[in-house]
Amino acid sequence: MDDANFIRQGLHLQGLPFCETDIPYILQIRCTMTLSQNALSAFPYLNMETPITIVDKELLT
Amino acid sequence: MTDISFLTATELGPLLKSRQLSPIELTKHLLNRINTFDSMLRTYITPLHDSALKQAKEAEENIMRGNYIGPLHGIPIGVKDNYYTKGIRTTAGSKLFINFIPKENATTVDKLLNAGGIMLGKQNLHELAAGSTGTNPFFGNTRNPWNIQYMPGGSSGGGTASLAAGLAILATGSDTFGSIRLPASMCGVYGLKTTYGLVSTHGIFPTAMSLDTAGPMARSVSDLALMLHYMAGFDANDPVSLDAPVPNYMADLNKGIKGIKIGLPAYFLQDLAPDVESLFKGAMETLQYLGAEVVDVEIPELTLSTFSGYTIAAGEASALHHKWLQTHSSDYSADIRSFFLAGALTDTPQYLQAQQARRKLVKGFQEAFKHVDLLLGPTIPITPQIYSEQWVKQNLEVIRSCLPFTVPANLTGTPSLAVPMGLDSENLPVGMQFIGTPLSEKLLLQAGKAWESTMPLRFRA
Repeated sequence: MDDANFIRQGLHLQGLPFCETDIPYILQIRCTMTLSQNALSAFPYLNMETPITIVDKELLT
Repeated sequence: MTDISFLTATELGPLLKSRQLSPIELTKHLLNRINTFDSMLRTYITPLHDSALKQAKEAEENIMRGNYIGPLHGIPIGVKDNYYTKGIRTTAGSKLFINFIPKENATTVDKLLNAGGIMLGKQNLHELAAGSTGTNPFFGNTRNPWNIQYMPGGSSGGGTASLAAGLAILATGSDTFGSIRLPASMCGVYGLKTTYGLVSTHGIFPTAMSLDTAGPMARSVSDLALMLHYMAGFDANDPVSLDAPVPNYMADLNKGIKGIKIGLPAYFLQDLAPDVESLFKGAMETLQYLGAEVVDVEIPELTLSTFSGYTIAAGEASALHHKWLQTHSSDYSADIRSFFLAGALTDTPQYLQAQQARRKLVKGFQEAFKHVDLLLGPTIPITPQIYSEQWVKQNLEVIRSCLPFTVPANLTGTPSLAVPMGLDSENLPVGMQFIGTPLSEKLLLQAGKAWESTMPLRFRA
C-alpha cells in the first residue's frame, strides 16, 4: 500500500506540484486502485491476454 | 395550454413543420426560462442568446418558405462545453481553458446544426468531464432541479439538469466512465452511451481517449433515437471512428421487448442503496410483464472493472494533462487534480495489466451475449446525494461507488442506455441501464421505448 512519502516522492520526481491537502485524496484513490487490483488474482492466466492498445488506421495504410 | 418547455423534440417537430409553433417563439421561451432559473441551477456556462435567436430566425424563414429540412429543424439544443464550437468559448468546465475559442466545430456540432438544430448555449459540466457530482468551483455548481440541495451527477450534469428543468429540448453529452448515464439517472432523463467509435469525438476535449464516447441525452427515447440518427456515422477526422452502417434508429421503435432475453449479472446487485434495490426488483418484474425473459447470467470478469477502469481513466487523463499539471497545477480543483495525480503514479505494468484485464472483460461480455440479448443493472448503486461542504471527498466517494457500475460499458466499448427507474423515498430519480452488444443501439432503444411506456417516474421506492 502506498504511503504519503511515496506519493510525495513520486510526484516530485515527475515535476508535478501538489498541495499537501491533496495527499489524503490521492492516497484514497490509490488505495481504491490497489485494493481493486486484488481481483486480478482470480484470473491467473491474464498474461495470455494481449493488452488492448490502439493501433489506428493511420498506421496501417 | 401545454408548456412547450417540457415537450419532446418528437412532439415539437410536427408543430414546427406545420407552422403552428415558431422556432423563434420556442427559442425565446427557453432563453427566458434560462434567464429566470439558471442563476440558481447553473446548467449553462455560456448561454447563446443572440446567436440562438439568429439561428431561430433563419429556421423560421426557411420553414415559412417551405424548406423544412427534418425533425431537428428549429429544435433548441444544449451543447456540453467540452464540444468545440467555432468562435464560441469552449471551457471544458476548466479554468485552464477559460478563454479558449476553437477555430472549428466538433463534428457532431456541425452535424446537429446542419440538421437545423439551434444551439441554445454551452452547458456546464464537472471540470474536464472527469468528475461525477456536478460541482464546478469555476462556473458554479449545477443543481438538481428535482431538489436544488442535491447534486445532478456528472459530468454531463448541466445537460441533464437543463432537460429536467425545461431549459433545453435536447442535450449532448460525453461518457468516459459514466458521464452521460450517471447524471441521467440522478435527473430522471434518458441518456445513451454509444458504441465506441459510432459517434465522432473529433473536436471534443478528451478525458481518457480509449474510453471516451459522445452521445445524446433527452427526455424521451424517441428523442435519443432522433439525435443519434444525426450524430452517428463515420468521420475521417476521428482515428477511432467506426466505418459501420448507421441504421434508421427511429424505425421500429415500438417493436417492444417480447421475447427479448435480458441477462442480470449478480455483480450489479452488490452494495445497492435500499431504494435502488427495491426499484430495481420492481423493474425486473415489470420487464417480465412486458414480455421480456429476465435470466441470471454470470460474468465473473466484471470484478476486473474497477481496477481496469480506474487505472486506464486516471492514467490516460494524467498523461494528457501531464504538462499542464506541471505548469498550471493551481488551475485544477482539488478533486480533479488529485484524480489526475493519482493517475500519474500509475506505472506501465499496471496500465498494461489493466488493458489485459479489459480484454478479459470483453471476452466475458462476448460469452454472456451468446446467451442473452441485453444485460441489465441499476445505472448506479446510489440515490442522488445532498451536496456536501466536503465536496472533494464527496466527488471521489461518488466515483468510487458508481464507476464499477458504469465503466464496464466504456471498457468493453458496448452501448448502454440509461433510463429512469422511479423515485426514491426523497422523491429524487433513480435509473437503470440496458447494455447491448457493439452497435446494438437500435435494440437498446426499442427496449428503452418499451420501458418508457410504463411511465417509470411514477414508480416509487
